[in-house]
Amino acid sequence: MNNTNTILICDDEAHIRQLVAHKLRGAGYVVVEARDGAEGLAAATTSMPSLIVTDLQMPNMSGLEMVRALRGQEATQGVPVIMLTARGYFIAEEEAKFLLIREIVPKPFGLKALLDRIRVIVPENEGEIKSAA
Amino acid sequence: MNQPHQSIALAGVGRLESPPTLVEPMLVQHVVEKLREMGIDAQAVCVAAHEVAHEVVKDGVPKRVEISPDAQLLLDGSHVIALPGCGVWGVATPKNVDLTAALSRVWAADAAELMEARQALEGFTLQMSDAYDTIDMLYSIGRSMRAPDAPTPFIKNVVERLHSVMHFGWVTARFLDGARVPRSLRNTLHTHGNLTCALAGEQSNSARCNEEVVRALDEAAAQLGDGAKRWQILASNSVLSSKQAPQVLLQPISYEGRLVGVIAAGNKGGSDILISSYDLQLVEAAAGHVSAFVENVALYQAQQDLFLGTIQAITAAIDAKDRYTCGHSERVAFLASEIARLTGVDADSCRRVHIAGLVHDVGKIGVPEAVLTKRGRLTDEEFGLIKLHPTIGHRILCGIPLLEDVIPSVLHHHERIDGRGYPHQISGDAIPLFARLIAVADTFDAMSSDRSYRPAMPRERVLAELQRSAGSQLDAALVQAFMQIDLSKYDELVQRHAQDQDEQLASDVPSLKTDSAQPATGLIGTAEVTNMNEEAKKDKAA
Repeated sequence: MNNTNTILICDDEAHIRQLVAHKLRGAGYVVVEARDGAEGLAAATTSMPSLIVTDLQMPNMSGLEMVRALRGQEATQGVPVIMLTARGYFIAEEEAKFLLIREIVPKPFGLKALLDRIRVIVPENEGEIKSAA
Repeated sequence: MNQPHQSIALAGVGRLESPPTLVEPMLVQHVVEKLREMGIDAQAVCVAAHEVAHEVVKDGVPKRVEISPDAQLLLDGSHVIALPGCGVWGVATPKNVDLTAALSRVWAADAAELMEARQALEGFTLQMSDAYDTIDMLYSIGRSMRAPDAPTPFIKNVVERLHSVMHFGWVTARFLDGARVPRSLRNTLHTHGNLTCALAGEQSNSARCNEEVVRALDEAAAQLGDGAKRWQILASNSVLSSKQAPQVLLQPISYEGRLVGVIAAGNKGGSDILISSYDLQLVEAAAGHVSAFVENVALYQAQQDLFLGTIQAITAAIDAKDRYTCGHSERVAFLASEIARLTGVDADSCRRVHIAGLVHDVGKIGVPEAVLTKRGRLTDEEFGLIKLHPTIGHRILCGIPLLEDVIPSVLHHHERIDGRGYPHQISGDAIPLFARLIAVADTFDAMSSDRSYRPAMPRERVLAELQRSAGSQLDAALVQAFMQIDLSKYDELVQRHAQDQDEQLASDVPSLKTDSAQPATGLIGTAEVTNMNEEAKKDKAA
């Protein structure tokens, strides 16, 4: 069972990672960070997030390689993925579909727009919002 | 002093296969500095993760250090301690290995955090300065969109700004040759940067190179086709690609669903030679502005065409009514705008003076043709009818907002400086400048033209008459400026109009007889009526 409120953000650029993590934490999500595909793969396996937001081009293991590896293991094969990338045109549409990449978001992206897309995939915990209010 | 118990070798193992990233050596260096602050001589070595052995210089002698997968290892009395997430370091026989190791781990963790923060800050700074440049560029483009009468400077600005913000070797805007493309942009190429085409030995931006570039861009544009909205990346192009960075970005510019041109960029440099979504979004945004601008230009030009067409129609109507003064309006327009130019009036206003000259006699449409075309002297009553033409002209034009600045000069072009003109008998500077300009030009052209009752006056006499009326009938300063006009262009106009008139009369005479109650013969030009009493008397007397 996935941790319903957990999102993994995977990007080798610290400022992008921190920016997204900050925004997501502010919106009430639990955020796990990883700095490349290899770390992301490990973190996804241990923390079982409800969504992975990942960069495409990263050292060690690219975002695409990571997603392929995730689809290969039973526990993570269905985790939805949003890919942030400066090279969206590198990913063929069919492959994105096949790998359950829900969105390919070109950089630079608007944080609010990204959050809106994330909310569709992982609705925030309503109880938490009420208690916060 | 390299005492054995104080000598430490640090080996940071990079997380990358090879080479180790910059972060790890910095991190290990941080720990080394901390150890040195404690009086321990330490040195840092960075090795790649796949290396199981590395030479560590200890006490000035290179030694081989084995690094085990669990990063715990002893060699020649060296302790090797793993640092979290990034590497290992070796301690050569210090007394307090455990404490040093613990401290080093804390320092390494601090350093890692610090470095990540620094990295993030650098990332933010870089992105912010990029964003700042981008915003500035878009503002600049937005601001310069307000001049639809000057499309070329706008396009040049867009191309130049894109080139300065992005890392492409060249950026170019190509507009196709088609009816939908605004005239001044049709079949043009605006390049910034070095667009060296593949032709051997051809200099960038040379005429022959530009020809090749235009051909290549038009081919690429044809493949994009009409209705293309999205960018395309050409993996390589025989003309446009450079060896180092073959990708070429092609962004369509559309207007009303039709392709009117492309923005292209290539030979990307810097650390990342592949086209990124940053580039794509920026060029797409710029192209959006350009498309909107092209639409503005097209609308503006359509409006201008309609306006100038209206003016032409009005002028044609005057000529049709009073064909013996054919070309008079155009000659007055030319002379009045020349005087304006010579007295330092700005170019825009000079164009307006020209328009005022073209339409100044429009009121003649409302004067009975029998009066306009009457041979010989007019009765007072007939002259009264002629004198109505400025007021009639004013009434005809007052519904055209685009002529707002011109209309007063139509009403007042027969006023005199001394206040004895018509219709309002205003004097001096109360008469609008445009009207005073037209009055001078009008008088000159009337006296210089043939009349049925007298031939054109000789040039010297006309000029003398003008100078004589300076200050009474005409604005003295404007008459003075008039004397500087190069009249050869005016004479060319007169000749051309004489030819036109001959042709027109030859073809029109039969219909003229049926249209007109009275055959058109000798005329008194309305312009001459300006000073007709004196003028006609003089003529009759002579």
